[in-house]
Amino acid sequence: MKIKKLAGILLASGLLLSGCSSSSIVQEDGKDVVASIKDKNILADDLYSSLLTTPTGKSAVFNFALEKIIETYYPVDDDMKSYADDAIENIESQYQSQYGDESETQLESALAQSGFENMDDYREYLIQSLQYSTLIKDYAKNNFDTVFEDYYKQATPRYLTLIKVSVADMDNPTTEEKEKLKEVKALLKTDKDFGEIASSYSDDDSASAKGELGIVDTTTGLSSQYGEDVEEKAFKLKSGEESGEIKGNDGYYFLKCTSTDKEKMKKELKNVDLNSPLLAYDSYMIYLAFNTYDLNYGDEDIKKQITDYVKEALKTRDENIGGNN
Amino acid sequence: MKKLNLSKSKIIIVVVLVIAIVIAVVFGLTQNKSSYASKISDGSQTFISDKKVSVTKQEFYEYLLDNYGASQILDEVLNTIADKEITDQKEIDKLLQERIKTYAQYSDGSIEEYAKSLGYSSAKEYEDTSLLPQVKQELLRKKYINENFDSLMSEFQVCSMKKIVVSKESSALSIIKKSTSEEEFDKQMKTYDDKGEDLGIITKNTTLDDNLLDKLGDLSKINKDGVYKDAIKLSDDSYAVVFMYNTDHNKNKDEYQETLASDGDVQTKVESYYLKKYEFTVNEKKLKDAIKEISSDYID
Repeated sequence: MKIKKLAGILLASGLLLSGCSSSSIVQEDGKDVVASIKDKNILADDLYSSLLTTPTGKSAVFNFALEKIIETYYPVDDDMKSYADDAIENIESQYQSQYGDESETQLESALAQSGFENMDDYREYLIQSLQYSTLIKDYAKNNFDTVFEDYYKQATPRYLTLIKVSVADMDNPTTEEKEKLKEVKALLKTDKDFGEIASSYSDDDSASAKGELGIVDTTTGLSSQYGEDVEEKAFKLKSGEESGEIKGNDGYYFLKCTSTDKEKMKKELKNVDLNSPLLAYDSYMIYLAFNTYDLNYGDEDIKKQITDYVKEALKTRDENIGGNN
Repeated sequence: MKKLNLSKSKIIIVVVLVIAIVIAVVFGLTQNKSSYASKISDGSQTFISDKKVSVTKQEFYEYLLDNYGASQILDEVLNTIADKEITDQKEIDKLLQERIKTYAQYSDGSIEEYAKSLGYSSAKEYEDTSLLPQVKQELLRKKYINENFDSLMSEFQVCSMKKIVVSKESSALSIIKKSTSEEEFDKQMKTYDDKGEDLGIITKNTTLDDNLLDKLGDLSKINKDGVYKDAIKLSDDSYAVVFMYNTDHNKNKDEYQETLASDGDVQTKVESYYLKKYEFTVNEKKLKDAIKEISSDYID
């Protein structure tokens, strides 16, 4: 009796363990019922079909396939983890120095505003972004000539050098600020090299590199950092031209377009890494990259849904940017 | 060599223990792979594959459930409920045409273009799968609000008010004394210019000063238009004088119903009511939890 009881407990515990998170699935005519209301069952098959036919479902088919490609061909590695950890450490230390004791609360609030539950959630997002970027990077690398041609055509890249004269209050510059601005303008009229002036007088971080910003394109985001007028002027300059004084964010700016030489740029960008501007200028590149995978589809419907989705995206790309890839 | 001497009873325990562990391990592994119990009919069929990737349709089904399952189930059951509850075809058609006209304006008058911009293949698909269900949901909410108008007005503390905020209590009391009618209060609002404001219809979910919100229970019960007898001290130590208007709720029913219908909490209340009425049950634990996370009132 005691043995039977013990055996029963053991079996029950096994079943309990095995079923601790499962659900009891009801069936209707041999098909699984996920949910129900009076007189109506929602079958797994019907739910699948209706999910698939919504616009969200249509994009989900593509996203799922892409996710599987990324998971398989670009699995998470130690470098990605380490990059994410470094980025988080950097953010935390920035918040610590900016907010002190309040840093944790401020960071939590910033994460919540960006849609992340916590730092682990954000870390996962960073790692996924790296996986995604690596896929794009490989596409750009393997199709470098085509991608570069398109980049050069679409993103108007150029080498820019910049001088910034900081002004704390743009409506009331101090005498010192006015004097510095006057001196920079005077120097720009002399034979002194633009880069040398930047090196000695610019208040921008680029001063240590003689004001060189490197390759700048229309997706770099000059306007958010320096102001809209700075960005507008930057892409009007021809090679060798200087901008003159531009009123921008937190100061006055002077720009020089040092080169728009295509071959020089191509040579510099040849080694495509994760920081390459080639990865950021075309948000539709993911569809081009996806098309390089020779996938087999389980049925014609799925095949049509994915290929139509990609085709539609690439059509929009062509309409928007006149892409030639 | 020493012979292993196990009694019969010990052998039974060991065998049962092994079976229990095997069940736990096998089912445990299965669950690690799949957290859903429901299966689609051709789930083992390939979704996509290549030389390295191999994914089944069941895996895609579970991906869809993870991301959209809870909201899709709610949509489906609420649409079914609305189909049963809302049967006045003329009313449905009228509201549908109004919505088509409104949304078409977003794409130069073309509902076809607007539908395509949202990812639908045609206007008809958009109307059938999205607009019509939305219209029916709207009518379902209106139906519930109409049937429970007084209790909802009271629960959500709905009322219409104008206010003047002044820094001194004596100024507030002076305004109250002078505000013998709505016209007089309006004159005071002009006198105090930027300190006066017609708040329109407000509810307990409107963003208001905390102290004013605390008073809303009393204010919303007032059934005669007029200035409120007390100056209300606000959280920044200023004083608000409020004038209640449209206190005859039935005379202004349409406006109040619109306000209630657009309140998220009222929407949840209506949906919860009908889900319970129609005995909504969910067999997938994970989906049930996800639905409870949307609102714990949706399901027991």
